[in-house]
Amino acid sequence: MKRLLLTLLAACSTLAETAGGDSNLPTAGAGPFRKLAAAEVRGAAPYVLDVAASQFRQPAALALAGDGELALYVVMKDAQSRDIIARSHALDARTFYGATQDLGHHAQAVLSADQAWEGSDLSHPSVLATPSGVSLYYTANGAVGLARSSDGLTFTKSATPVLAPDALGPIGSASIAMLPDGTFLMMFAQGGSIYEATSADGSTWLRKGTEPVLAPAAPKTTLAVGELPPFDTLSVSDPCLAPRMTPGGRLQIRVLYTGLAIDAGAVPEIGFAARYDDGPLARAPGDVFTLPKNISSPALFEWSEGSFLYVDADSSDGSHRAIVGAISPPTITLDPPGDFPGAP
Amino acid sequence: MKARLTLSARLAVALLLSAPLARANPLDTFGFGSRGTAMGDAQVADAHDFSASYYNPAGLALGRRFEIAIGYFRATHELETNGKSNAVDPVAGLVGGILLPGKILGIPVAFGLGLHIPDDRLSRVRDLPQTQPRWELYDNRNQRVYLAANLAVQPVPWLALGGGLSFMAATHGTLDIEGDANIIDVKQSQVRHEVDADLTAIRYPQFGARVALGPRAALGIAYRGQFALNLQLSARLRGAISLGPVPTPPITTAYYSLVSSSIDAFLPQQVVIGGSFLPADRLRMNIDFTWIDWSAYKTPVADLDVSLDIPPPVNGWPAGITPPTVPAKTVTIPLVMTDRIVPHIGVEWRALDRANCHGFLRAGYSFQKSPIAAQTGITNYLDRDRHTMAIGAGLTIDKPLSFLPGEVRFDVHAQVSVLPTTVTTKTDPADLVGDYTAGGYIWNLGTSMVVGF
Repeated sequence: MKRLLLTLLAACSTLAETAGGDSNLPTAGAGPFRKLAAAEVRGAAPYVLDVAASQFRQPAALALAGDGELALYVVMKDAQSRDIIARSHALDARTFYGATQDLGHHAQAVLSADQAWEGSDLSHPSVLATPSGVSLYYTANGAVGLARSSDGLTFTKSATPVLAPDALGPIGSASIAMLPDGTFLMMFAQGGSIYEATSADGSTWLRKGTEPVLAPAAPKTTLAVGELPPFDTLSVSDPCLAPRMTPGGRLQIRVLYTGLAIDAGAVPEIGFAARYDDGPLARAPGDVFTLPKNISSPALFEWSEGSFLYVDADSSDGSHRAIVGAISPPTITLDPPGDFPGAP
Repeated sequence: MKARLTLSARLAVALLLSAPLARANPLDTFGFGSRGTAMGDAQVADAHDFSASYYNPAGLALGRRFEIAIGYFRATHELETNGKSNAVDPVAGLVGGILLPGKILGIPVAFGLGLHIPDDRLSRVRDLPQTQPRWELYDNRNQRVYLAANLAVQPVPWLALGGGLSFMAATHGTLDIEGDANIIDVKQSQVRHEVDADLTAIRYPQFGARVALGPRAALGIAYRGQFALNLQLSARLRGAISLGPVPTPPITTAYYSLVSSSIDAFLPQQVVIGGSFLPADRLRMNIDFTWIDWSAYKTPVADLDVSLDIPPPVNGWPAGITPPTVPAKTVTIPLVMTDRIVPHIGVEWRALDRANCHGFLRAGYSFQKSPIAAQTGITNYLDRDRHTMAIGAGLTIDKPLSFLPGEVRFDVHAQVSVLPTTVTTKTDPADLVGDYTAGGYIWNLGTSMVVGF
């Protein structure tokens, strides 16, 4: 009886649980991001795909069936040091097939330059699921090409680029998304600004004017109290399109991009701009992610708990490029990383 | 009787003047005692037991027995944004009070004490960025201890007057950090810190009056003062900066100070006017109107005063080392709120009427239109209109035991608040929070027992 009483008293003398109220807070899913912590990745955080010889760059995310499962299409060096497009796969958005610690596995090459117009290298994949399969857009020789697949691994290219360079210069990178009405929207970088094109079928594209939808921000000599200085006064590039229907029922065109300031010694930062329906793009004040690792080429992947951001960055020793992972909302603490998947 | 008067007077003087007393806002949201809660908090002209310490101190003067009350309630929040729970903490804890009536010079007087002690924490402080979504009226403000002491007098049979003091704690804190910082290898840094926290008391008034219009009707009015719980934190850092491990001579010394001042919780002043009527022998109907001065609400965002002084080293900063700069000051966006008049209605039916046993069924309703302006900008103070419905029952037994010549009353209540889900849309398409839906329910169950001697 005495033991029971002591047990009951001990059970009563507990501290309160951690205060709540911060779970599942609403977010536009586009930042701010924090880099992944050591306990959240296998290997050296915040890198999620880091193989020196492969020089992984320019990620593009394709959501797969499971919550947190995605395929990541990246540019990598092949044995001939050409830039090709490869695919990796993670079940938890962090533990990628073919990462350094995934011994014996390598990201699977899915596309290399073999068309006359492409030159020797492919770059900037942009991937999306369509009713007919997977469409993989890429940039080569200043133009945008298209390859299609039924399984996301074996692709068939279109013979000609779907968007060719014009008087404004070569196209540096492009991001394509399918809108809720079934049409397609492309944003592409050209000459330090971002432009857009539209398509009814994803194959035939029509450029929308010659004015950029997002241009470098005007430098500011004086700032109001609380105003952040613009970080993208020199160039904006690497758009990553992520349209969504907001809980308010509005079509929101979200764009992550790489911004660079005109100041000497400035480092690239990731910015966020958005618009409702056909309105003008508006910038979020300040960056949504930065790291002193020369980051670029954002890719967004959303799952039930938040958003992952992948960018390419200098490796920890600066010898090569690798893929860094970041997460939003920053207050999320992820479970320990899962197992490597068995296939790319 | 003489001994009781002495005890009452001593308690009243001691509590009112030295003021270990308090009142806070969980009761504004969830009611006080099962009877009042079940009747939609329409109690300003009706409360005459321990709950009068909150609803209207004048009601204490109607008590004719020494009463002790004890109870418990738990309010569970099911508040969501975008269809997902925000896990807002429940508010739960003991409620209770004392009613000590007597007479001075033949005039009825009474002393009342009301108490709510939460289960988990006596107080909670939060200092959030103004952009972070939070359920402003439910997340933090209700996590408070409540203690109030009141005196009441009935100078003439038709009039009762009452008032008292309330108390809450304000927080002041200082953090001092001093040491040596190695900017080449931060793990070699050695710092010492000292924390000094202080909880200080704040007192607030409340008072009320009750006018009997006859045996079947009464009017009441009560005033509850406002208070603001200040949260003041300051941090001072002094560090000798060196390029190697101690005792490497420092290259400079940095001084950093931060003073944060914010409102952790604010309770606006309120005026309650209402009536209590007996349209039939067994039926009581109450109606109250509460004016809440929400427009005086203090924006719960910290005002930061930051200074940083790092004199450059004699030989300049080493290559690759850039001294930090003071972060840009945040511009506080005022939280715009609108005064509200909240109607409360309650009914009580004496369903069981035996010689020494009476049973009651109760129901109530109140509606508060959200006082918070639409959050279309960068701030995200979540709130929605609130419909509150309650039911309850009570059982009173006269002289239940030989040594208990008074009565015992058991009350229970069940209350649900419905916050209809609606959409908040943002003006700026690049808002990092974006559009969202918000709404939900608050469930409140509880019981209380009053023993009269």
